[in-house]
Amino acid sequence: MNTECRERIIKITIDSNLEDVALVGAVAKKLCSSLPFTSVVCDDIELSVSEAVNNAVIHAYGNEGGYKVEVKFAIKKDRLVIEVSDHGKKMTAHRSPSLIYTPGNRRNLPESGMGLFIINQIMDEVVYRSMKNKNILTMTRLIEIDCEVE
Amino acid sequence: MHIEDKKLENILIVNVLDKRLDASIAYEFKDEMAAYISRGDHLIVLNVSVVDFIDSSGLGAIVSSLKTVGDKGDIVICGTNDTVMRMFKLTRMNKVFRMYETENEAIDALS
Repeated sequence: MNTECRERIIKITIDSNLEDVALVGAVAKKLCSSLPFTSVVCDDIELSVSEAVNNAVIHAYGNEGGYKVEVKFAIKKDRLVIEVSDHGKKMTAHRSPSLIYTPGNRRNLPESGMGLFIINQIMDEVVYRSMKNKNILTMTRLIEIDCEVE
Repeated sequence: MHIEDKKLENILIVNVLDKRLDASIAYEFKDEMAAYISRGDHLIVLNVSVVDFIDSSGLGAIVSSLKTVGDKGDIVICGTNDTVMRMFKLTRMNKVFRMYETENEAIDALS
């Protein structure tokens, strides 16, 4: 079996503290740099992961420390799958968000809620599910990886 | 959250000294900008040349500041690197803010 094709899993758990989000982002970026992604894509994925973890800290846990946010990176044959999970308040609505506004109209510019939109712009697939006490945001980015099929 | 400011006639130049303008400092940044605006600084150059990462919270804080200025003035941005500019383009905020490469260009735009 070509060991380069085996699925690789990296898991990180942080406290629900916004100051620790940068650590997760740094891990994401470093991991992506070992895959055939451009530097722009690596930065994009770092941003997506940061946005997802921010959402868990701020919305699931009300920006309170002392709770766990778990991030799992799964490097598969043709994709990077990132799961950000929490045990807090679940997202009430997850449709593919849009960001519609008129640039010239300052009063109606969006100040918040752009995170999910950004994630959906960057990642190839975004799925949110909530079961029992666990909420999981799964983000997938397709990659080209050279594997021989046996 | 580290920023420094200097005044050039009626233009306030705000230099963000943190490499990350993200959720961990966004509220503090927003409050600082609101304080500047409430004391009468309505023409602001926001220099982000040190910033190498911005998330939606950081961007939202900048947008909030622009909304606070409203019709009284303007906030222009200078010094965005490619990563920061990407955030502005992803959200189309590069159509909202006037953006310049250098601080001098930004100052000239407000003069």
